[in-house]
Amino acid sequence: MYKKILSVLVSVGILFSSQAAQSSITIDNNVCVKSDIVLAHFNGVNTTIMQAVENTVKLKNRYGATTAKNERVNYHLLYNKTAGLFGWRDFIEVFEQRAKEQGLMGRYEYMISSYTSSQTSFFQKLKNLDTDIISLFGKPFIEQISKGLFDNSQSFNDRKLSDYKAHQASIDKWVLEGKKLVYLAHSQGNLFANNAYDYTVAKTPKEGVGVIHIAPASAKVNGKHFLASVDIVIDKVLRLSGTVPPVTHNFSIANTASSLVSDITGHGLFEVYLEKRFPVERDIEIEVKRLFSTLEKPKVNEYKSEEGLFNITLNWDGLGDVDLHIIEPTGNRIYFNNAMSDAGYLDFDNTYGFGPEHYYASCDANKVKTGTYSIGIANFRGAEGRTATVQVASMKDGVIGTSPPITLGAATGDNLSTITNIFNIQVLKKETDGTFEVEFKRLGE
Amino acid sequence: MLKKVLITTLCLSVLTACGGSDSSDSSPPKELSLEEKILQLEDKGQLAKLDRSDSILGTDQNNNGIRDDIDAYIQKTYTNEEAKAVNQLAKVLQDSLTVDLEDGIKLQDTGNEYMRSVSCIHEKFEDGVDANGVSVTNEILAMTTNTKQRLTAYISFSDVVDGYVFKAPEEGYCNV
Repeated sequence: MYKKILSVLVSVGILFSSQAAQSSITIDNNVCVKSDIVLAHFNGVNTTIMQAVENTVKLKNRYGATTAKNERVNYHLLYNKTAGLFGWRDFIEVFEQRAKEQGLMGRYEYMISSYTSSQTSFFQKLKNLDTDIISLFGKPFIEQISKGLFDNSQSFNDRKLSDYKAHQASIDKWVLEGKKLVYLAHSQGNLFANNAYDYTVAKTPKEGVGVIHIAPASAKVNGKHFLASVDIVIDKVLRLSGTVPPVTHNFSIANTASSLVSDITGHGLFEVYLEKRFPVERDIEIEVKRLFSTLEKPKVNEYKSEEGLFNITLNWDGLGDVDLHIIEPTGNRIYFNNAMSDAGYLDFDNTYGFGPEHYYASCDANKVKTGTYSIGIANFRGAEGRTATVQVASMKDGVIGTSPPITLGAATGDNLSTITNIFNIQVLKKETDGTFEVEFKRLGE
Repeated sequence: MLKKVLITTLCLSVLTACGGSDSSDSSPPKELSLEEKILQLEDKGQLAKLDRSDSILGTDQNNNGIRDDIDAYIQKTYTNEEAKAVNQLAKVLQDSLTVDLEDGIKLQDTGNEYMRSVSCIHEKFEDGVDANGVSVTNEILAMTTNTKQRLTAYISFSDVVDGYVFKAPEEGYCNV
């Protein structure tokens, strides 16, 4: 009961302090550029991290950092690897077999070259030698991609959002901060996006969340979908399992300039669906911009927190009351019983289960405290054996760290001596331009 | 005029000599294998000759974090301004091959560096494609992962960041 009363006081206090903080920030002091919309990209099958990263950067460049209504958009990659029996190691084996037949043994630069959609000098030279690249590498890879996607879609039930702690913590943060959310998914990323959507709309009004399904590997859709007739992977292979929605765009990609694998599969994100020569690209752009302009920001009383210079988010996997404890550089401990300081505040304290809890670091240059912040958690009550996750995200870099799963011990109430220190971060001020850097500092340093 | 006549005569003599030689050998010229054609291009300097040593990091004599063969390719191919961005990418790719796969903070930081370097490439090159029509990220990635050991190290990094979240930065992503 004592804790509950405190929580109400914290919430009321934060509401007041949040508004007070907002009104007190002058433009000269504000070091934050807050976003209104998050576009979360869920990558497709057999996309390695570099390709997924580049596609996210391309999405940002394509759709812009500012909307027609002058709202700011941030772009995040929620990465998933290709799992199952047909992961990348199987692709390497296929490549090795083909390379051996073609006298390219040991030249692994052709592996990435053959698989990535854009040109490399290695493939340009092969083409100049009149080599039939597709017969070299293309067709076996189509079979592998299709098998991989089929395998992943069949085994997807084993991969829940709750296993993706960093994804979940980021969604918690965005929901708490009242962001409008656009989930753009390609291929097997649609399976992840559907889970993310279900998780999100259980926490925030669905009018603020939109999903764009590109080459969906699932019959279930939560928004508009786009499927090309040329998509061999989805429309010709995965459809055999009867689990994909109907084709939306009929066109041919014959005579394309770069007949690389992603083209001949008809499945590539930027090579086919976002390629400006094809009508599907224009329709996807219309849908992205429609969502940007029509999604509704949750009302003030429906979201609780603010995006700060950096934020710390805590969640856990069941009922119980877990607490976030931040020791600021001044030595001041911020927690449910002392939720505010000049430098920041605990703006959401969850006392019943699952989290999240959320710490906000001030955006006012005059209030930012440089130095080390120690981040800890404690099981206040009822959460023994639960698994908790702590994530730190900065305004500039997005996520800078997510803890590994932390198994909670016995309840310790508000005994401050039993807090588990998770990690430290450091805030530095660059004297050259007065900006702030937020970075990890290892425990013991 | 005299010079032109001399050159023409010389050329004709050479052609005749060559023709005579050809006519004495009735076998058709040997068709080079794909591997031999590639070796020829490498010898002529038309295709990068890559380090295929056993070590993941290869040779880096100037200790700038970039393998020397990739370093040489970048210096030869790009202007100084472009090379700064490509070096940033090459270095983080190289770093990612040896990152501690159990250090979640370092993995996050490496992925964030991927985002910064790719953003910088797209600022310096329209759509990330250079004047030769080459995708800069795919080119440097292909060069960096040119042996089984290196490719496997890259895939291991890619696999272990399954479930991570990375933000496309808005500004300040080019290191220099």
